[in-house]
Amino acid sequence: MTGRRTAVEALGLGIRHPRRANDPHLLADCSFRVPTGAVCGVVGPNGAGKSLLLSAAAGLVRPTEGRLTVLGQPSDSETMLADIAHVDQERSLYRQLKVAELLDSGRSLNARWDRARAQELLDLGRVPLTARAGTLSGGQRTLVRLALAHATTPRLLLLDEPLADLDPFVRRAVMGLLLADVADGDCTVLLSSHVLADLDEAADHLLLIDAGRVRLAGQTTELLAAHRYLGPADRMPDSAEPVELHGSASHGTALVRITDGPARPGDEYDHPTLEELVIAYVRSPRADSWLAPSMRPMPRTGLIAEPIA
Amino acid sequence: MSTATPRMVPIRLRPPRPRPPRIPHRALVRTAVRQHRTVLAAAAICLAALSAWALRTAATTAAVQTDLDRTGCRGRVFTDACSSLADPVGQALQTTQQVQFALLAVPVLVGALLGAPLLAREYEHGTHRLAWTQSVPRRRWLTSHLIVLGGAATTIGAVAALLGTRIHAAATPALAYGASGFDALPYNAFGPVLAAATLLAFALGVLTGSLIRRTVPAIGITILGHAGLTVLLTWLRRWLQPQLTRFPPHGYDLSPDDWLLWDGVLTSDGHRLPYAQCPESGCPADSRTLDVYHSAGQLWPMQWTQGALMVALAAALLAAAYRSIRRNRL
Repeated sequence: MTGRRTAVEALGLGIRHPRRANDPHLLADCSFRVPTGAVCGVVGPNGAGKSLLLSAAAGLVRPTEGRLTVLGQPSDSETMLADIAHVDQERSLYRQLKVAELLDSGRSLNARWDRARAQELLDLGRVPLTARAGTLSGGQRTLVRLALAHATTPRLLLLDEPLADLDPFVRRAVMGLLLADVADGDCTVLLSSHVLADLDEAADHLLLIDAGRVRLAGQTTELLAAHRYLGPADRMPDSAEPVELHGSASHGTALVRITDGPARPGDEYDHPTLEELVIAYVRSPRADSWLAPSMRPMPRTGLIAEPIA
Repeated sequence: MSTATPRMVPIRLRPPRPRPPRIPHRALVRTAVRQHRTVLAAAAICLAALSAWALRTAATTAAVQTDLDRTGCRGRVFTDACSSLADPVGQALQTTQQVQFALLAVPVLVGALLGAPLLAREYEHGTHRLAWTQSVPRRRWLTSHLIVLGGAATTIGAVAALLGTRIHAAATPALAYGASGFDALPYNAFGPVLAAATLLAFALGVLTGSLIRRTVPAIGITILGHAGLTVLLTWLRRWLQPQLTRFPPHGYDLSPDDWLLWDGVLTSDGHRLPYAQCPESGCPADSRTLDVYHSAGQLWPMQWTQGALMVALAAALLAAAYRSIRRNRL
């Protein structure tokens, strides 16, 4: 289960475009915490900044504002690299190299390497070891990149749209392999997707980013419990914050957030699905953003100590 | 009244994670060699072909020089008695020049094909994201690639410089005016200058590739930049050694291997007057003929000085490349 230890923490994280002068922020004022052992889905519309956030966590892009801590170290520290693995959206590979040579390079360039783990993923797509990377199909390239990442037994796995070009048969097996580590030990996974159905099964945390800002973050159960639909007959609780209103006041429904006290079991309210929730937040840019307690940054104390689980 | 002293009681200790082992340089270099094996193999083949051609040309030219000395025809090839040697001499001059042109192209090719693609190709194909998220920090990654490709560039430059020196030695004493070691063509095609130019073009290519991030434009700019630098340094070199002055008693009498920078007359009132500024009636009667020149002995000191300058410049460009890979690329 997820403890109180932190895998990724952002405090006021901002990344500016190096040249664009008007509206230079690609990520702005992002604060959140991904606890160790989480499988955190990063969702949001196209161009929201999902890939950039993953690149930043992989140390490829340095924050221009605020702080991004990965596995207890600043995201641009060099020692962090040994513990992370990143699969980018393009699945770039050295095209002239054979798959076996890519694996061999991976072994040479990584602190930990487990060839068998790579082979498990390659077998899912029958990726031939003698094929040059340039001749592989999109799905096979994805499997090679996932294999290269998986073989390093990372403590933080950053996956950008990992399932986009895999067929449905392989998807489940891939997720099973990748997420086995999470169940086993202290591996954390951040995976982005714009298909929420992909995440529904795998992710236990959700981070919604829109237009470079965090809109919603928390454990999925937490998020679902904190939101409900209210009909015209329902009394709006004082603590409710409206997210989205449908229809007129007399006939419509409202999606509201009620954060004081847990939802009572068996209450009569309709709770939104995760997908409805995400869409409602994206459609309502003026609704307040919300970080559930499980993904709020740790309060800073003077002590340099990890909180005790 | 006593204040409570805060006491820290360890409840749970987490052993520090062992530092990940450092990836040995050897593994990095081996990986880089594998990535660049095609271009390295092609470079080796081209270099071998160039060597064969240059060495054969040098041997032929050396034979022509021996013939000139044996027959006493040096300096009067175009007299009737030596007409049999006119063809071989012309031939030797021509092929020597062709080889020297080829050597001149070596830095350009190294900069364009080894230097510019080093980072530009990674950015273009997005493979930098793969390379820089392994356990190796990107600075060390760059170092390993510089060792492989920069090492190849240095080797190629050194071999080309030796070939050029061999060719130049065979063609010295100069077979004709305009073919001395100081002339722009042989000068840039042998010795430390050629070796350093190869390294400089490589460094320029690496930096350009890092800034431009597209292979073909980076190659183009590298070629233009190298051409510009070569022109600039070729113009600058005359100040790298002290300029000598002499008053030849019987007019112009420098050897073909000297480099005449300026000639004219020194008038009795101490003004230097180029020949072209003398009045039509002739230069003033009491003026002395004056040559400003570099002697043949200054050729190698000039080469080494310029070579050192170019190596320093190359080092600065590589340092800039290290800096530029730290920047955010979006």
